[in-house]
Amino acid sequence: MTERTATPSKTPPPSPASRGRGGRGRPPVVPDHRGGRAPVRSRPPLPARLRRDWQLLLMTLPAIGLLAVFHYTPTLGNIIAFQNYNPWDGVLGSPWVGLTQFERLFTDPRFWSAVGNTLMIAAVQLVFFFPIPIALAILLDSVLSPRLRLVLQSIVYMPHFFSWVLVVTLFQQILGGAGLFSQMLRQNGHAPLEIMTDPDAFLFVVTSQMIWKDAGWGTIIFLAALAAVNQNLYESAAVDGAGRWRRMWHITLPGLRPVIILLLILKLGDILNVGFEQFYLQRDAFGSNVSEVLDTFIYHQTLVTGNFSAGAVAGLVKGVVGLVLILLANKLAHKMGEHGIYRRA
Amino acid sequence: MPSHPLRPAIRRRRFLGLVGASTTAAITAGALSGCGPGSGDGGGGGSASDASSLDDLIPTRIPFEGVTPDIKGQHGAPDGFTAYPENFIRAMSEPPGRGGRYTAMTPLWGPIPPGLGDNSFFDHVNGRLGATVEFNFQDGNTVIDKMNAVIAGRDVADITMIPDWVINLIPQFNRAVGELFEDLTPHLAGDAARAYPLLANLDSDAWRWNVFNQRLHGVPWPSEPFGNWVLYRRDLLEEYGIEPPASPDDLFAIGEEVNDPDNNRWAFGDFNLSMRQVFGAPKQWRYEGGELIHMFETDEWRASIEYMRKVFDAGLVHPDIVAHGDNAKELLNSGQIVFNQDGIGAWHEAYMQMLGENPDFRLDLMPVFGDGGNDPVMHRSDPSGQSVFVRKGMEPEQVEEILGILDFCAAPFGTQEYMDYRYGEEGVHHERDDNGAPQLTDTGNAEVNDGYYFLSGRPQAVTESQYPDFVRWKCDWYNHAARFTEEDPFAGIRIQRPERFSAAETPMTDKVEDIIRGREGLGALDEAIANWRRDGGDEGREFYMEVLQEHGRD
Amino acid sequence: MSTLFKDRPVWAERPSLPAYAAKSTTLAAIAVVIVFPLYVVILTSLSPASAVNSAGGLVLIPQGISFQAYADLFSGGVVTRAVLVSLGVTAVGTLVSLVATILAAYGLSQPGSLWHRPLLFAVLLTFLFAPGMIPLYLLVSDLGMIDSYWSLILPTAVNAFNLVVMRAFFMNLPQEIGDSARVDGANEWTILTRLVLPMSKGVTAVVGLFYAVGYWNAFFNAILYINDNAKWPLQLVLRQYVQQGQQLSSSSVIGNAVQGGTASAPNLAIQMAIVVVALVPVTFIYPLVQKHFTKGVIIGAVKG
Repeated sequence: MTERTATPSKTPPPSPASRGRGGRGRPPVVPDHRGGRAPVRSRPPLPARLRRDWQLLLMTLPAIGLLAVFHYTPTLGNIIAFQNYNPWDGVLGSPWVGLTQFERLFTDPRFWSAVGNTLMIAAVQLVFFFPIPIALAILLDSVLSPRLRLVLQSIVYMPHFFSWVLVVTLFQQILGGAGLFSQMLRQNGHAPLEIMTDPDAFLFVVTSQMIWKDAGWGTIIFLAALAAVNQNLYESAAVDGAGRWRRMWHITLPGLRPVIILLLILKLGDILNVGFEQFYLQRDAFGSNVSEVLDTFIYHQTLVTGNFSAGAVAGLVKGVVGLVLILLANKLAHKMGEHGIYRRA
Repeated sequence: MPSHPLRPAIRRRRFLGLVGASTTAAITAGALSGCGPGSGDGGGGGSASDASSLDDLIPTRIPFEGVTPDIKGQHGAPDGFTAYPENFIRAMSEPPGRGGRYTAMTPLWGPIPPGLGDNSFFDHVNGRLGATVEFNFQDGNTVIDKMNAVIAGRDVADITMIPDWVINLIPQFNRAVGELFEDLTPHLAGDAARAYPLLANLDSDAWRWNVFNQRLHGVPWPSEPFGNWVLYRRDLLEEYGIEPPASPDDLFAIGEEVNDPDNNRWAFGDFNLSMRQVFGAPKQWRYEGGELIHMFETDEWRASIEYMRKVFDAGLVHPDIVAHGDNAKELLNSGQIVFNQDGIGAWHEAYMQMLGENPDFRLDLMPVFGDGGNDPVMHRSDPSGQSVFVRKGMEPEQVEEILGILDFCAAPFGTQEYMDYRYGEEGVHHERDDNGAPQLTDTGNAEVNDGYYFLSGRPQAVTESQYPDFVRWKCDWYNHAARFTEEDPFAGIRIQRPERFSAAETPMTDKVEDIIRGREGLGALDEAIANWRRDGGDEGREFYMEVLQEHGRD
Repeated sequence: MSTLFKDRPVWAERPSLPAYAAKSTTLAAIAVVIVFPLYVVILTSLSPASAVNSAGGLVLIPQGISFQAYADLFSGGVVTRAVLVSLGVTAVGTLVSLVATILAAYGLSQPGSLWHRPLLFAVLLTFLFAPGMIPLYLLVSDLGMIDSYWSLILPTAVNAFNLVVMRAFFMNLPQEIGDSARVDGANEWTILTRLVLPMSKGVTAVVGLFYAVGYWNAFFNAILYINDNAKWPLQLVLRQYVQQGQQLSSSSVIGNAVQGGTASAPNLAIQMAIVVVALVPVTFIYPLVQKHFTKGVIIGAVKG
């Protein structure tokens, strides 16, 4: 990735520090992967690497330990996907049923319809929601007055702290059939709005709600990334006559690119988790045909029938799909010269 | 409509809608073989057998001679008291406790009070009890999650209250109950209950409901017969000079008359579940000519759906309700809607909020009527709304002490004990107003809670005499409505429903919402019913048929 | 979209008038779209019963002011206590999370280090596969952490997303800095604390914010693991107010709950007061975080 530097060929800013020199500081025993596309050519023997890296390993210990205890151990419980599980008998006492639970899920047309809705919503989120925090962050970052910038940033991230119930209620009271706008329309002899109950408007409404609630919150990470962009680059670019557009294209966006790509990949891993409450709450308003997503489907399955195994099956499916997508996306990112989540060896 | 507090986190009514179609309170669970009442005595005897077979296991009923009701409840309706008595009866001559200390886990729907040590209400009642109850309240909307976890972990408290709808949703509860909770049969069956006269005063059907695997495990909460009905703004109708409706057509006509969106008034909220009863659909199954017919398969139910569709199509339902908003109470209180179905308890709740600023505010329950001259079919709640269990493995004396505490908490209206556990100490936690009704003081508002109230049930009664005409109107409605109570072929049988049968209901209810709200034509109903039968409905029918046979009711 | 241009004092040209106008309008519109609902929420929380009842929902037009909802919330001291619990759990939890996350993010950020790929993969898997509620409960119960504040912290202490993000920022720092320090004999701990962290204040603040908000908003762990109501965090205590009256309405069974109350604030006003109460700390936190988004750091950290 050496050359992923923000240094576009046409703009003059000096190439950031040269990189990829000697390994990790020790006499260059190990070729530096970081520096390059070049794969590792030689590896020192394990004891040598241990001697070199034990501090790093030690540092990962607290987090890995916490995850091992509080995540991996209970996650093993997901083997109930292969059981007819009930909490009273527990994992040890519940009968094993092989792939029956999977089969049941996969042969249920409503499962596939929920998957379809989920993917549709995810696609809309990716295309219409994902870029907005980036644009908003750039816009906010361009505000010159520090005080105004702080105020604006503080305001836009507030809706994140509203529960979905409140967001839905607010939308209804402002845009619903008896809401603020509808009443104004009525008083002027027009037809009221019906988007809050129109299945055709469903994607539009839920995406608007998402944008309203979380776009501001989503800017935070990009604002942090923007702050890390070397200001000298702008200066020298300006001195060299690069206009605003060009500076944004060649400095700002490349500065954000690693974060954008990372978040995009993580989002893909999460693709079947489009949210639960927002859809659960508006199920009857828009109808289950459009609003049933994977999580609400499973919720009704498990709640009504006490079938915890169905939930575990869905969890495994989501995880595997996410894993595959992450690996593919990561590979793609490498092809495009990006790190992605982790670089290839 | 399950008549108990339900889970969904935020908006319960949505959930009620969903499970609702599943019919009432009986999310009852199915044939726990050998678990349901009556199944153990060899099954098949005459139709009387299931009831009588349990009679050895439950307390002999000894009515408590307390305050005489002003309005006697008929056909199972609760008694009414139009005033608080001047002086309260002491039901117990001495505190039931012996200085023990017990933890109690119960859900709470309302603010968490200050805990033991910071709460003079707890001190007061514990003093009366002669024992210390330490409450661990749970979030009322997530009891099912908590109980599933607690039961999987075998972590139950000394005293555990579980709402009935939760019991029915806990997988394998019939097996867990015997291992986690004390068998109360030796302490309470037959004449043994004489030691706990206030528990012996509780309704026998409610006790029968708490028999699991032929053992008495729970202390019941006798429920009011009906959970939900249509409430309407009686004051507004009087302003319009309109008589309350006496038929579905009347109701529709009134709706058209009062509906006025330009002036921010709509006629209706949602009342799908009440209309089922108006049109005469069964709560779940109808047993006819040796066959079980499910509600979904009856013409009456279909007529109720057609009616609801007509109501929605005519634009009589408030748009927020069409969008399934959760502000129906506020809409009714503000007069933006005139009719709305709600829990019957919402009535006095609304009075509590509204009468102060608007003394003319009046609600009433919509009169019970049928369609086309037929009688309505009123769906009765299951006989016990919750159960209180004692942790297994306690010393017999401890079990007795706990039962003494529960006995205290079963004291009915009109007793000093009732006032103690509900309103605390007079002069400290409450004052009595001109009518003798208790009004919580500031201390009371901060400290008094429903903890003890949930430790046991008591005979249901209509007692809110502080609100004008409330007791009389409500009792009149009850006594009228109770005459039309459905003859449920499964009355009194606790049934754990087959999984596929339960699961088949969600798509069905979804479809019904689609039809009512105009997203699908009425024609979609046939296909939905066919799918329902295929995906679990017919399976359920066979299962229920077996239950009938097992109980000798076929 | 000239609004997207960056204006920097040092080198910035004055924006054209239309560009300036467009940018201002966009920002103003965004602010209004967010501020108006905020106003509605705050107004409703401050409305007397009569206003809420006549609005039939949220109050859009002021009709008197009442602090009853807030008085109700803070009477009895339970909410106050829960605020302290939540602040404590949030502070300790954020600290634990940040330390574990920073260490691991750095430990996994050095190219070619031993086992970093399998370890990173293991972290990633936790992002994809979540444990079930009951196994987690059994674990916490077996560890004896029921009714311990640690049960609100440790199970969620490390978040894979945050870890991966932080690692990515670390990797975008110029490698040479660490390299030369190592040549000078610095150990990894020194490099992390003296060199890497000071250059990573922004991302540290952001990840800290993510964790803090997570702890602050969490309630479900407390539902499962905390029986003692005195140890309930704020969000859980507040939830109870929203449920007030719910059993009344849907149930005849539990239908007679305490009825003698004096006219208390209407449910909706309380609900909105709850939103406001939970929002207040949040308004203080952001400026603290944003402070660390300092511009023009030494490094040409445009990437990695």
